[in-house]
Amino acid sequence: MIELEQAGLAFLLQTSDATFPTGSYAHSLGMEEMVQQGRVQDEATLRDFLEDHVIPAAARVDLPLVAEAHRAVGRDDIEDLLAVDHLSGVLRPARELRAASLQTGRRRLAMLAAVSSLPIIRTYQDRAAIDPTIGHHAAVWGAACRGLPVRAALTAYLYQSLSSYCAAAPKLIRIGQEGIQRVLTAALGGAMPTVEAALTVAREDIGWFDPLVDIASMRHEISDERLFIS
Amino acid sequence: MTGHLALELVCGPNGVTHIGRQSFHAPMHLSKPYWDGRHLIVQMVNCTAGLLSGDVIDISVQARTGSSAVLTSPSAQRAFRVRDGGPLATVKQTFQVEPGAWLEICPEIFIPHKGSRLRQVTRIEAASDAETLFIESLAPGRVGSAESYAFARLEWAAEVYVDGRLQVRERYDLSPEQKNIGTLRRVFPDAYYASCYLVTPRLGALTDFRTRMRDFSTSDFMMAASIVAPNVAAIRLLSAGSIALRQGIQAVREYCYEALGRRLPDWRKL
Repeated sequence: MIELEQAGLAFLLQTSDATFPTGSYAHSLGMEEMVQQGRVQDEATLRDFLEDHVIPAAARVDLPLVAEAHRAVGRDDIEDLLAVDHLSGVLRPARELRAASLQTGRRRLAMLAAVSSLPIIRTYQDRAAIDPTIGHHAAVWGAACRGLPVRAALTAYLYQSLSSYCAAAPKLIRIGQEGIQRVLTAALGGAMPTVEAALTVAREDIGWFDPLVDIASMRHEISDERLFIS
Repeated sequence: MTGHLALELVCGPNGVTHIGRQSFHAPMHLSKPYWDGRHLIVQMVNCTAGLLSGDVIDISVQARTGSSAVLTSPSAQRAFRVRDGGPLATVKQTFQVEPGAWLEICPEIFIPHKGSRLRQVTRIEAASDAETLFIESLAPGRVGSAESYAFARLEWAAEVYVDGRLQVRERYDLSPEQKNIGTLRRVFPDAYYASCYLVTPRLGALTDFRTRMRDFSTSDFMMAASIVAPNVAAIRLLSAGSIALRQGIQAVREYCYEALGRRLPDWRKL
């Protein structure tokens, strides 16, 4: 059970909506190469991809990073927030995954700085403006959710992450709108245990082993045919 | 058993690298080093059968300015069953590579036996003009004894620092029931894995690096590479068996040595 005031709910809806400009629509985060390899090819294999690769990685990497960033801004600790931001980058083993995290995060941060009244968001944006390696997506998301319940922040992050893959899927495989919604519904069905699991991961233990996605993302860098940046 | 190995690799005035300081305690031991004309070949030896419950191993190697060395081991490293509630085995290793030095770290494959539990923490610290190739490989278990992914738990961490700044962190807890192991085994039932990091300021000149790594792949072997930070490239290898993995690792080594204008060292292993 998450208690969330109307303003907080409206903020999460606004910032996880496709109209909030982060450029995430241009990224498949390794899925395009998984399609090229024949590992994702229809509704069933897309569902498997989310359940076997995306959700476990979210539970062990992205969601714990969001939670760490959320804790850091809760203490108004910009240096610790920047440490989480740096960790968000160095944990990505392929250049495109790292670049995607940075591109979407920096765009989100710039937009948040334009509409947010939180001083720490402005400080974060000021630091990002002078250092192009600052502004990873998970850390920005956690910072933006300052004052909101951490479970709401993580659930919204997981939703927008899963929906990004689902938005990319029709460009890569034969799947209809109903199929996409079935996949998304099934994936979100496991969201709460994923969020709870993520909250138990200590900062020093954040990380995940998935060489299939690592290799897919690395190969995507040099793929001759590609629709997506990552 | 609590053991350690500490080494300082020094380049002498004649350009020959030698061991300037060494200290070790069982189960770690050092074979007689060998200078092949370009590199000092150093074999790290665990003189017991492998890592047992409660073993703590601390390895620390400093490659001083201008030195050139290869660290390897004569045979596979093994971890044995840990009884329920027993302490896990722990390996901590730190490799420091100073300006102008070359250090290759390529131990033989690690084989976790059924019920084994191990924590391994690796820290690589390189100067911005140092060069290093780090290779670690993992078997699924004693495949010849029908023991594949039967270990209890592996906690793995590896960090690469360049000029004191963390550039790459790899961290995972593996246990056979996890989904990532299941998906891996659907591709290769007895999947072997290796992770490599090439650290050099000359990565920008290796224009064919990523395609060459990809093109080594075969039907039973997958490999890819990415330049993840200005001086750091990550390479991932997956294979259906040990021979394919060994061939892949050899391909990585041959490419890296040739691309960096170095002669592949003679390990003098059988």
